[in-house]
Amino acid sequence: MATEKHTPRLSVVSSHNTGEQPASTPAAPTAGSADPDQRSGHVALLEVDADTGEELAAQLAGRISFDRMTDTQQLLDELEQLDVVVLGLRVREPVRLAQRIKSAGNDLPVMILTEPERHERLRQVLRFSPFIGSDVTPWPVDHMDELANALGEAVLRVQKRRSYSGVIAASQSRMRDIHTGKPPVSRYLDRLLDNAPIGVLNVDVQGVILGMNRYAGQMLNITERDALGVTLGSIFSRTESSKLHELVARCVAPSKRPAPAVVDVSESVGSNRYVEVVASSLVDRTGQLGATLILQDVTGRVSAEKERLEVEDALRVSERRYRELVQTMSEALALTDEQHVITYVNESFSRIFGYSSEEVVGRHLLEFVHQEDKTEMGERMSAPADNPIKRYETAWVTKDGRKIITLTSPKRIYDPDEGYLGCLGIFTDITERKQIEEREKKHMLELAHVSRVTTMGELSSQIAHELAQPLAAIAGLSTGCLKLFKAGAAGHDDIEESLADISQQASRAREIVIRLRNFVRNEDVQHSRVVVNELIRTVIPLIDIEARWFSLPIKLDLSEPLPDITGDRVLLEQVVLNLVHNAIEAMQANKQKRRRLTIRTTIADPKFIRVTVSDSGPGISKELIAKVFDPFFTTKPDGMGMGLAITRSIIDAHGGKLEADNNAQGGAIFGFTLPVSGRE
Amino acid sequence: MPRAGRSSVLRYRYPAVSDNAPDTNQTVYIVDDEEPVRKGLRMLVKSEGLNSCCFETAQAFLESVDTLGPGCLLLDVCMPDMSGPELQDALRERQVDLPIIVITGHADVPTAVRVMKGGACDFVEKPFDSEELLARIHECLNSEKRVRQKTDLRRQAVENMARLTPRERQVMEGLVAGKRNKQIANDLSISFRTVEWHRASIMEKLKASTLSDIVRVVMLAESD
Repeated sequence: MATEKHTPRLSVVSSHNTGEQPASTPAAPTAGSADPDQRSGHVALLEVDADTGEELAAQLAGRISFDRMTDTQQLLDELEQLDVVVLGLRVREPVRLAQRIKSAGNDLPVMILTEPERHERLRQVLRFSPFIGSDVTPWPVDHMDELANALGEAVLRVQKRRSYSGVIAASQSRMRDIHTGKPPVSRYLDRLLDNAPIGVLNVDVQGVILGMNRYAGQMLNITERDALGVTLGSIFSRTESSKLHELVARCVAPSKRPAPAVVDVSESVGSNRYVEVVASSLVDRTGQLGATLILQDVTGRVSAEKERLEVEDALRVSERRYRELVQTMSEALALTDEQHVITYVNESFSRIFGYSSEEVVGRHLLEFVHQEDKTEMGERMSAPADNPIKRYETAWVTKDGRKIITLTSPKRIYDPDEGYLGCLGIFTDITERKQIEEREKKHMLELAHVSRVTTMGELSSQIAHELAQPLAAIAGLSTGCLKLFKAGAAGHDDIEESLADISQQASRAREIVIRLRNFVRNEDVQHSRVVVNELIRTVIPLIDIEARWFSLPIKLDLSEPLPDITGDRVLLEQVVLNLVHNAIEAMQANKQKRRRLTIRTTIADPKFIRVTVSDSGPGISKELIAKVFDPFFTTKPDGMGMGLAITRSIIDAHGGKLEADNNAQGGAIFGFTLPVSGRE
Repeated sequence: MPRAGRSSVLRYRYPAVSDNAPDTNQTVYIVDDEEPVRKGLRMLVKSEGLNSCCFETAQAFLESVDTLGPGCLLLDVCMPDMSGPELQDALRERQVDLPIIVITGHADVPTAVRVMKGGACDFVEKPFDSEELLARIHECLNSEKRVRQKTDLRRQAVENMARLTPRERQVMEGLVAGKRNKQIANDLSISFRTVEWHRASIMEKLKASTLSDIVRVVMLAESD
């Protein structure tokens, strides 16, 4: 190795792009052997074009061997066999390479070919470069004729240096041995710096760039060659560079520790890119002040930040919009925490409930619920979450003590981690609607009652007859018995039988009275489960009074079993009675021979049952069929015209439908449907 | 003969109205479609010691009406198939003159008019007062009895009068006109004795003991 290292060798390795064969290789031993006294130098050429190489080889033939390196790696690998390195114009980062060469421990002279116009700048830079030792020389290409001499001197210089410092050489050769195992620390640092994902930029106090690592170049989209020696201003935009200048000035100034600055380099890079710059002061060998700028790509962070700001802005706008919406909406809105304590109410809430926002916030929602709904509301609050959301009618008490009714759909609110935050309630004031509904319902009930009383009035003679029968029987039996008893002519059997008959007749009279009283009673609607067939059977005796009066048999055709319905018993009895009453009157007017009255129940579809009352009267003419349900429409000379209108409103209120039609066999048929009770 | 006639004088007198003693020949007929009502009426009638006979329908009554004895009919108005008034009409057609008390649970004016025009002797509303109804039944039965007796007397009077010879009839007319025997003899150009003889024969034939009896018989026979 040692001999080989000092063997004069002249070889020019052409660069790959030229494709030239290494022509000078055979000449090397000749040159070496031609001048054994003068030790021949070994010069590595990197990225030096072939012409220049050949020219140099020609000029220094026999004295110096040239070796063209295929790439940087080869150069660095063969560094130990070299005496001088010449870096060509195409080497992109000559200063850094020089640094690496130096840091590899070989104090080799490095010649950096440079364009004449950049020569001075490069020279300046090299003076300040912290890692570069001596003997790095920028060489303008317009002075190529002197290069050979310079190279010769350099070779001499390095050989002289080597011979003078044997110790150093020895240690260096030791280090070289170590180096083959692992790179020296400085080289390692250098590599680290080069490969680290942070940019390093050395500048002087004027902001002239003295050095940079590869990452900095990538970050700023600039080659070392373009960057070195230029001011920051020519790379960065005006505002950004002034920011950097200030940064440098601050870090150079004693006792001031500069804060990192974020610099927008989009202009020079061409796409959105942000770099965070941290500056630390730098003093070079000559005592010149400068700064090392550590660049870090924070594009992601900045754009994320920007995005966050934008999102926050959008959120703020949207929140404001919602807040306005919430404030100006006509429905009352309240927010509560998880304990149902009010945390927010909107203006409509204040308007509807009469309390100002300050008066309600912090109080429990239940405080405002009307007494009648308190228990139910309390249960609802403690119940598990509803799904789906239901709507509730709730009564509240306003500040001035009024009772109001709202339609509320409470929604539970959760934080992103499914934590229960509280409730959002929107309250629609339906007090007025409710009052109207109540009034209408009351009117309907009153009308229905009037109609029932009227019907009973119309039936009064029949009813009187119905009551007279048992009374007559009772009167006859009791008087007769008494007389027989007084005369001592009463047999035991006579009396027993008569008393049994009397009691039976009395209960018959009682039943009629009770049924009548129930029927005419004016009560609120009481919804209960109703078995329709049973209802018809219980109303039959009442109907029968009239039917028998006119000697008219009623036929029942009830399908069993029939699903239950929910409704008000009295009102539904009234419906049946009204329809039968009408049917009887219709047939009476006709004086027909064959009178038929049939009450039929069927299952219309799974959700409805159907009850029909058909007669064999004259039927309804086509023009009248649409009008029969109109209020005050009547065909009877003394009719009010309310019967069917009320009947229909009763059926409507039960969620059913009342219809009139003509029977196929003649006569009218009135039918109504009633919804089957839901399974609750 | 005059002796025998004298003993039968009482038979020409009307029975006293206050006579409430039940006539065992009479029956109270009850037509009502409701069994409890029928039972009540029957018990009431029975307690008065009267006979009763119940019919569920008007037709049933009509079918057996020819076999029935004297009495009265308690008739309901409102019945299926044949109503009370309809039965009344049917009875009138058959010339059954059984007195009828119409009992109705529903007394409206048209019904009342129809019933009374149909010849009912009374009209009672249900529920009735038992004692009052009984009083009416009695009244009705009495009047029936009276009518029956009157009819019998008249029939007898007519029969008796038919037995008179034309001369006797002439003499009788003179007597009824209040003429004296002599005047009758003069009018008929017969002797006083002959008139007296005829008069005795008339008395015997008409089973009369006094002149007033003769007048009464004539009046009976000539009444409707």
